[in-house]
Parts: sequence; C-alpha cells; structure tokens
Amino acid sequence: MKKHITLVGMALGLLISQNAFAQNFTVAITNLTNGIWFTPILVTAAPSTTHLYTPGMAASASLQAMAEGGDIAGLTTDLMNVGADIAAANTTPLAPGTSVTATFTNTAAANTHLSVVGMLLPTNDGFVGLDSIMVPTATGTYTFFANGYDAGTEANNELVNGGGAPGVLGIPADPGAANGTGGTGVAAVDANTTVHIHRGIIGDTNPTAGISDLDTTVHRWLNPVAQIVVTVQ
Amino acid sequence: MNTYKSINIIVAVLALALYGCSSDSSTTATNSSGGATTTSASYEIIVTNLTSAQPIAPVAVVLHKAGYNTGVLGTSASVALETLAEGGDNTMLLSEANAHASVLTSVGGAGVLMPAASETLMANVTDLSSLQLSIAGMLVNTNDGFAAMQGLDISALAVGESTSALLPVFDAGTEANTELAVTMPGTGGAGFDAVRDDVGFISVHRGVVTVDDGLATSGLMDKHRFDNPALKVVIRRIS
Repeated sequence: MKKHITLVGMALGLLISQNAFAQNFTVAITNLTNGIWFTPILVTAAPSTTHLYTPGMAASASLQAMAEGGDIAGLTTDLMNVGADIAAANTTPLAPGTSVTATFTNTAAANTHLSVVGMLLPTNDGFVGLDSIMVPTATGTYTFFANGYDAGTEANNELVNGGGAPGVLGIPADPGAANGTGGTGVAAVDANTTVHIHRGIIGDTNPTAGISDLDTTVHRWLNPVAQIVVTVQ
Repeated sequence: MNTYKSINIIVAVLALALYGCSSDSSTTATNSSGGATTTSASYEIIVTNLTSAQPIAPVAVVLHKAGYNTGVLGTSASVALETLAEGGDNTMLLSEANAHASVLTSVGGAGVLMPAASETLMANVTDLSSLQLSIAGMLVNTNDGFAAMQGLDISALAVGESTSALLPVFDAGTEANTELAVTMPGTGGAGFDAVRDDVGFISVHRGVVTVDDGLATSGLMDKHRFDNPALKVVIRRIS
C-alpha cells in the first residue's frame, strides 16, 4: 500500500510541474501600428521569476538602452545570466503591418515564460512589451496582444535628432521617413519616471516647425501595438 | 441565471486577441462536447456602442467554423470589408459570408447604432462544433475605421450562459485618414471609394486627430475621438 501511495504522489508531482520540460514553439509578432517600427525585438523564454520590466517600477539600465536606442545587448546579457533561451527575430526595424517569427527549439526546462520587448521607433523611450506569459504546454495556436509602454527614462520631446544613447534626449530616427524637423519640443520632463503605458504621440502638422518632429496623422497609435501568436508544436 | 462564469471573463479578455487569428485557436480549449454537434442552438447577440460620438453603422455578425475570416491583421482587406469600413455598408460582407463553405449563418444590424445605444440580434444554428462568432461595424466618423472581432469560440457555451467581449477599432488600410468631411459618411461625405490610397494592410486604428487637436482640415471635433474598446458584445445562448 505504501508503494501505491508513493506512486500516486509522484504522478501528482508530475502534473503540477507539467510545464517544466523542454518545449518547441514559434512566436510570430505582427506590427499593428500605422507608422511605428519595431527595432530588433528581443524574444525570450525565461524562468517565471524573470521580468524585463515591471509597470510602476523604474526601468533597468538595460531596459533603458533598449527603449531609448533599440540596443538589446544589455538585456541579452542579463538573460544569459539567468540561463534564458533567446530566439532570433528581426535584425532591421520591423515595418508596420509586417511580421517576424522567432523559433524556440528544445528550451531549457526552467524557461517556462515568454517575454517580448522592442523599441517603438520613432519614440523617445517607447517600447512594445509582453511580460512573462506562461508558454502553453498543449499543442495549439495561442494569440496574445501587446501594448506600448513608456520606459519613463526620457522626456517625450518628440524631436528626431539622432539621440539614441541612454540619457541622450531625442529620437534616433524614423525608419519610415515621415518625420519633420524644427520642432520646439513637446514634453520637457517625464511626469511618470517608472515604466507605464505610453500615452501615445501628439505630433503636429507642420513638417518644419511646430512642437513636434512627428506627424500627428502618421505616428499616433492606440493599443494594442502588436499581435503575438505562439504556436506550440 | 449563471451568467458570466469565470471562464467567460477569460474569454472576454482574450476576445481582443482573436482578431486575425487564423484557425485552430485553442485558447479556450475546453470544448469537450463532441456529442453536441447535432444540437441546435439559438443565440442572442447584444451590441452596445461605447464611444463618445461615433455612431456605428449596421454591424455584420457571422457565425462560422474555422476557415472563415472577415480580415487578417497585417494583410490587405477584401473589397467587402473595405465597403463596410469606408461606407458602413455590410451587404457585400454578409452575402460573401453566406456563400462561404465555413459559414453557418449571419445577421446584420437593423440600423445605425448610436452612442450609448444597444441592439439585440438573434442567430440560430444546428451545428455547434467549433462554432465561432465574428462581427464588424464601421465607426461612421472615420475614413475606414471599424470595430471588430474575429472568431470568438462559442462552441462550449451552455444554454443560459453568456460570454462577452470588448472590441477595439481597426483601420482597413484602404482609405487615407484625411478626416476631410467630404470623405466620411458620418459628416455627409462619400462612403465606399474603390481607390486605395492608404497603407494597404489592416492595422489597429490610431485614433482620429480632429480639428481640436491641430488638424485644421479635419471634419471632426474633440467629441469624435475614441479609444479602445468601442463596442461591447454580449453573446447569450438561449436554447
């Protein structure tokens, strides 16, 4: 009898930890915006305790570098340090309406949760974010939607001046070349210096002056900004 | 009785996630009723306009199986969807749906759904396996904006149960968002126009700018602005 009880216990243990095994799955990301591009997207399967960002908390230096300039090297190092799996996505900015698929093969057993981040360009420190979603275990197709966040590390002045390094005010570029010049600047400070839902772009209609270098008819968005389809094989 | 069970809350959260989802979504994969395929069912579909001042043109509701889409995010809209999104005319979308092999039935709204107004539509089917519901309706004070949901799985809904969804607004990508009064049906302008002069793919609508936010040529005012969601849908199985 004792033996049987032990066996039942083991079976329950297996059920409870059902997600803790290697998985194969793909992550297809579609840019749903009208005029905002996604810099190289970081797609990772990591332990459930790993968070690239937390709304209401200050951004890490690595997240700031990604959100202000599209640099994912710091976040990649952080993830390697916790043994996360990282799947390659786009190497050049992902255009509005287009998709990219990242493929995970034989992930480490502990890496049960999916996170996705990439800078929204042109913005000062906006990024598309999906934080720590449990990767489903059953075969199938699962659709998620991701919102635009503000890293809270740089004032949204909406001026395209090449400023992409952390702490350098300004927007690096507009891959869609819909931006203007000569703006006087929208916001001088961030009212919320923690990670928060991005309030969107104001822009203006003057390509050579006005308050913003962004185009109010092109660069605005409403959430969600990305569709993320997880296909578990 | 027993409306809004906990699973229905999950469905509501995921409803947004279902637009453009191509086929075998298993996000609510508790469809165990394999023996229910011969059961007939009636559904009550209640739509409510959540916007400030955006009348929604008569909606198109389609009950179908996997394989039918009103549109797929990031891809080109069909002419039928363009016609609905630019002019508020759901007739082509409904007639094409009715001719589609995966469609069981469809129903159109009786009229324009004004802000704060609700309308109840009815639909009957005799096959519940993999049953999904899709819906679309134009925000008439836009160039080609429409509230929509693609393929919400309602196959597991028991008699007396209901589920709900909050729908965002999409842009058909077929007409430039000039907001000129002459280009929008809600401001007395044109509806469908065969010319395609926008990005060419379905996106999430970026909202309207309006004259009050600096677009001097816009035929819209502050009150016409909207955020997501714009349309609420409650689906109740009544038999």
